[in-house]
Amino acid sequence: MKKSQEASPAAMEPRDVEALMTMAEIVLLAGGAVPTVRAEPHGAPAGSTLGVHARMAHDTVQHARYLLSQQQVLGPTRLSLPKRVLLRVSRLFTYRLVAASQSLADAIDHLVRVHDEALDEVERVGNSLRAQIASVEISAQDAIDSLAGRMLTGGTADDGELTTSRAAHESRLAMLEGRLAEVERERAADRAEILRLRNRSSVERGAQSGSTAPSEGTTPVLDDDTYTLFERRFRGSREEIRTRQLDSLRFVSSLAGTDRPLLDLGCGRGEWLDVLRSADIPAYGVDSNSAMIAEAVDVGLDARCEDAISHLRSVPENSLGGVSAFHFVEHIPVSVLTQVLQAANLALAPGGVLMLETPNPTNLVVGAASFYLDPTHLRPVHPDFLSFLAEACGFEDVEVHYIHPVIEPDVLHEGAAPIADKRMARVVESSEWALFGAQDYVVVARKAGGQE
Amino acid sequence: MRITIVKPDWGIRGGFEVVADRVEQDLRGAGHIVDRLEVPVGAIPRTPFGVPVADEVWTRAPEWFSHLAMLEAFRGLDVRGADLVISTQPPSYAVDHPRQLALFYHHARAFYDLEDVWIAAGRAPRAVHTASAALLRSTEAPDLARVAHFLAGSRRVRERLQDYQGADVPVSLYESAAPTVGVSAGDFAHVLTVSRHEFTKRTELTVQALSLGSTPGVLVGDGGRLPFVRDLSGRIAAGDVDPASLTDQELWLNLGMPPERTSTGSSPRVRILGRVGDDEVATLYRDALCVVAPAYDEDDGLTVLEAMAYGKPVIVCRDGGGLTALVEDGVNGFVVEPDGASIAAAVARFAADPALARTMGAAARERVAVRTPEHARRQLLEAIELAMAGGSR
Repeated sequence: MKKSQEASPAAMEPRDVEALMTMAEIVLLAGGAVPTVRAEPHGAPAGSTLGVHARMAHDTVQHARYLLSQQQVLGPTRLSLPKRVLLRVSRLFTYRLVAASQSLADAIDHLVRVHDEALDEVERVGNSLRAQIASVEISAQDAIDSLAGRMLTGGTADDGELTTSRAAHESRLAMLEGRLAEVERERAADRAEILRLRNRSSVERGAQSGSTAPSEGTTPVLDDDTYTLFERRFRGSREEIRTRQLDSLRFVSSLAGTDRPLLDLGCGRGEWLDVLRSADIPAYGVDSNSAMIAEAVDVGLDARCEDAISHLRSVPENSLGGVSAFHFVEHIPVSVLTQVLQAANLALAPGGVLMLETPNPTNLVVGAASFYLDPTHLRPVHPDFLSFLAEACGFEDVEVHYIHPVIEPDVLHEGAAPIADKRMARVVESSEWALFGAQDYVVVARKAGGQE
Repeated sequence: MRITIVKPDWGIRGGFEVVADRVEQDLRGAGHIVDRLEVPVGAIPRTPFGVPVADEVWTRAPEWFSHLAMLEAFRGLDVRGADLVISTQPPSYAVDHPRQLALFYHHARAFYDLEDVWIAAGRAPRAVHTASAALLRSTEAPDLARVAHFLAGSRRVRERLQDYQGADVPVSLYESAAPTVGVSAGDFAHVLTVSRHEFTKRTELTVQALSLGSTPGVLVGDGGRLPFVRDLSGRIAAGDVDPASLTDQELWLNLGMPPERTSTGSSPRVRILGRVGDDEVATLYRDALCVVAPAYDEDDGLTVLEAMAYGKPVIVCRDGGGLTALVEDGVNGFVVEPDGASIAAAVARFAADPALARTMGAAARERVAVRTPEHARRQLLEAIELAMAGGSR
């Protein structure tokens, strides 16, 4: 059987471009329809707070959509084809902008007013909005990519009109890409706003219920003076701690000479504040142990005797350059830790640094024994969990640094012969990590935004 | 339990409608309450997702726009009263229900497995078609992902689901029952093709094969390409074209536009009957030497199943998709290259040795004996269990 050449693909006609534009428009709306249907909770009992708010959000979206449909006031038949195409193209994006700023903002506004029971709903709607954003972005990008490809290579342009129309399409594409970038910037802002609202409502909820660390964790165990003695005996003298913390300066060096201060939670005797002062990093600390705060104030540091979490909640949004906490997170329950991270995210300026140091439970001696030496420790915090939680609360560029090895690796390996047997080498290596490795770790992260 | 079957109503009755009726009957037999919810395709307004589509735009890609309009209609169906929903043809799977079993025979094929063939046949410009196919697939991917369980009409359909929805798509087989036919072997006289004349059904290959051989043959079935197929046969008979030199583009890989001036030639060896009654079809089957099923990448093997139930050997093409599932080359038929000459050669073997056709025909009937209504019913009920269990997906 002979096969002739495949029928030569017809050149893209202006009508085809219009068809594709219409398709892209339908697809954007089709993608948007799914979360709207989802926002209507089938199972929610009529009249419940949740049901009412979800219904309001749903109606708002519907209303916005209706308004958008009215936007089409110009009868398309009265315009020339290129104008119609252009109108469609611009509508593609105005739909998105208007829908994003109007219906979504309104819907979220309704939803964040809901009490405890609706918080889950906010998150669910947020997730579906994010999914919507992602799918809209993908479809729009697909449409643009494919159109770009077609317009640049597809047309045979054997007459002047086609060439002109191709050039016009190319310039429109450039314009479209510009607009897409604009929309994406807007989208990032929307995303940040959703996160901010969620953190805000969670932090406020925490403030209402009055959950704070000391009342749930530390106070009953040791009184202030006894704990100061304990710290001195087992964590080291003021000078020892200061030396250890010098190393941590590298994580916050970007804050030197800036205006926004770093807040150190659970600052204790203020060793870290002292280190920061010497590095010209504006900082202050809070701690509920009055004996320790007195020592810090004595050496001229800005240390305040306040409950760390209550203080963090009272800090204005976007006002801090950094938030640090040394050996703090292992003293508080996870629910409070989450609120601390959310409150820190709100309080930090975009690009602000979060830095949390805590005992490293992947060192077996720490995880099995020394962690429990301090009777005020609640439970070890795994580095993966702490990183995860930071990300979940809106931090970016989350890094884990393992520090303070029991024996420095170069000392440990001094004069040691290399081990030829691979399995034995692995055994030795993991034993070294588990027994002589890092006793602490630091999670360093940034609040989204900043310079870029 | 209460089961709702959702289905686009195309206003025609084909093989799938027979399968759907059988499913409904089996469900009632198992004690379920069954409703049908049909969406009339013709009545859908031309405003998918609120976008008014002008006629001159719609006609650039009518399948695309009507698919999206249907997608919207199915997404909006209220099926909250059902314990389980069974979806059928595309895009009824867009129905929103946590426990959906999709009785799945094909995607919107022009935008999935037939995308390339569609372009090759000149049915849409490549530039438009590849973009629109990608848009359509991405739009309905979430709908397909919500289906709790797929019941695939054949192994070939299962493969396509795995290709497009991922290897871990929850799918099991539905092998519909072979039709019950009276056993009275006839004459083994002619070659028979029972098929609608539509794009990818490739009935043109039967015409070509008959023209190249010496055995008479009959084509049964209606369809949009019937005038084209008739004209092709006439042009060959009149000597206007050489059947040996016809290309795929000249045969089936084209738009199948009926010619402006119909050819006057006719061949006594090739009878193209169009639509005929069930009794006549049964008679034609009984007297057939063999059955040729020339289609390209079919969804299921329903045609082959029917032919084999009549005790006839079947000739299918290597690229016949679901058609090839039942045919064991040289045992109950032949699997040949997709061209008229190869089909003609296989036909010639049966013509030269009718005993071979009888032996293979008996083997064919034996092959489909396992395809009982009970077998299909069990597969259906098991899939319902899976859909009910997988509802949380």
